[in-house]
Amino acid sequence: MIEFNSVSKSYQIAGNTVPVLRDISFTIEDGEFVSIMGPSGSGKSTLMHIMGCLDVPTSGRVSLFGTDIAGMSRDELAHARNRQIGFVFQNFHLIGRMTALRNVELPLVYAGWRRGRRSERARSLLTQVGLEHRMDHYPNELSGGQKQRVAIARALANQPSLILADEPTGALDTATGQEIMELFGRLNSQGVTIVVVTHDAAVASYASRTIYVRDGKVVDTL
Amino acid sequence: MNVNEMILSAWTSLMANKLRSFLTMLGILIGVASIIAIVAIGRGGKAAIVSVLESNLAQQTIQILPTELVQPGLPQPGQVLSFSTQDFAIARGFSGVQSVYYTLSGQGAVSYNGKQVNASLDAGPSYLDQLSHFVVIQGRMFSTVDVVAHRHVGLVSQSLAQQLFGNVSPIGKVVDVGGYPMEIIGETASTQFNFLSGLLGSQAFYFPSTTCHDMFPWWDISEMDVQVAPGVNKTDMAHRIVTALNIHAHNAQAFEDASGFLVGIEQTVGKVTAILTLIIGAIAGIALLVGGVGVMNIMLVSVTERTGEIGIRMSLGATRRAILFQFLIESVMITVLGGAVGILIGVIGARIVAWVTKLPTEVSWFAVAVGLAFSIVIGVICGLYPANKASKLHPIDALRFE
Repeated sequence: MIEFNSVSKSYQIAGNTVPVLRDISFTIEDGEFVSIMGPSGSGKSTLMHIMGCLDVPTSGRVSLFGTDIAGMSRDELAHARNRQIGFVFQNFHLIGRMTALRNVELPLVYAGWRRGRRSERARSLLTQVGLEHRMDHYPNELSGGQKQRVAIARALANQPSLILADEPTGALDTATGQEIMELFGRLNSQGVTIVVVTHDAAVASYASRTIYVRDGKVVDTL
Repeated sequence: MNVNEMILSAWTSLMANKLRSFLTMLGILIGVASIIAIVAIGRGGKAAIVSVLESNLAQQTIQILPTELVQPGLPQPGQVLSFSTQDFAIARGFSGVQSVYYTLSGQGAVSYNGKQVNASLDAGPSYLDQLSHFVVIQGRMFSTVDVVAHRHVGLVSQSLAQQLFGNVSPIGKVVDVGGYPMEIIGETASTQFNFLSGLLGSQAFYFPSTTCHDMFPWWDISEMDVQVAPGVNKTDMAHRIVTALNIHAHNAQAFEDASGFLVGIEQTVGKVTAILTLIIGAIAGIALLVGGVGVMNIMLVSVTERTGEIGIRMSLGATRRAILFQFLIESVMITVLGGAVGILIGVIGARIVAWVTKLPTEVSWFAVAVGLAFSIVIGVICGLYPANKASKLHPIDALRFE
């Protein structure tokens, strides 16, 4: 369960305090498929960063599967990102000089897996996303949809409790975007909690519930 | 993340940019290669000079010199400059002494049929061929009888014969040396090729020391060589002979055993090569330093270029330590590879120098170890700042970086 309790976040820019999130509270149950929608500048990216343990809130409590992330050290946050969360980004964020297989292995490397087991796991994940014939290809030899599948396989590597997707279809054409969203749907039906951050209503429609964010606040509708 | 994983990862990123990695290595490579090669050449040169000095001092031979020659300075009143016939008789009187001889050498004109060639005149006992390292390739060596009889006979070196007689055999010809007729009884070739005999001219005329003393009585007999029987203590014998000679000369410091003089030369040669090695080593050290700065610079560029990658790795769970070690190992890998190739090139370079100049070289394994250790240290020092910078990046800023 993910719980945001009066979460606020502000940045210091040129000596001024700029509030980005104000008093955000919501709950996402395990196994849910939730979309977070909002226009650009609404603070939804910051919300995602905090949920993804990439950043910590200025005030309020964030409970991620029973632990409070506020006050975690950098190494504890890194550990949480490694084990609890799988990221899928708009620009895929694959490492260009590594093959698809090596990219998928990376979270397992940081989790301390041995090479043989790691490669076996990465192969099975790539097969699961339909890329069994592209394992040894480099990202620049793959299409946008294929890159995003590699990113999804990588996100799944350590069997995270949460998949956090930031505009996962933003760089893809409509048909490919639909395939990726259907893949998320399938993963959700296997029990993975999925949170998709988007400003696209079509993408949000795959989720069972939508949280709307505007001007750093949760609102009922946009 | 284990060490194997880090090494593999560092190797992958070096290979992703082969030319740049190589150019970055170059500074370290050149620094280490020059240290290895220079130390090898210096040590080899020293060993060569020492071996030449030692080879001229035959195994069971004592060399005695007038003291003035050992310690140059203003001649003192009553100073002995040359050995006399009595001195030789005294030395011969000791039991355990096999033979006592002297060698004389100088420069002079050797002429035949209007042709005149300047040659080194080398006079000695009947076994001069062993002392001066030559073999008789035609004719014969002068005998003890020739020496005792003060005969006007001599041998010409191959190149002197070539210049005086062309392709005609020199045996039996009579040449003029310092106004005296000398019959040529043999032709010689050098047996020892070292850089000294290579540098010095090889036009030589060899003849009996007795004859030489007759022809050039003003040449000082400035050296007495005593051959002792096997098993006789050289130092002890040298001391006894020198004492007897000094008593005869009524001068407690008239003569001295020359072995100390040779040790002195060896020490001087050692000092000179040590200083030269140090100076050139310092220059190579500067090359290493410059190489290290180059490594640091490229590592900083690499961190900036790969900020996005660092962000991705952090989002996948890389700790600060993992990022720090990733870049540190890359930096050390560059310098160690550079150092290893540098050692290889240094050793090969030393071999090439040895082959071209005929100078022996001696690779110092200590220098190899120092070169490798330096490479590692430079890699760590120059990698630490960029790696630390990378590890301190904030994951969000790094991810946003394009």
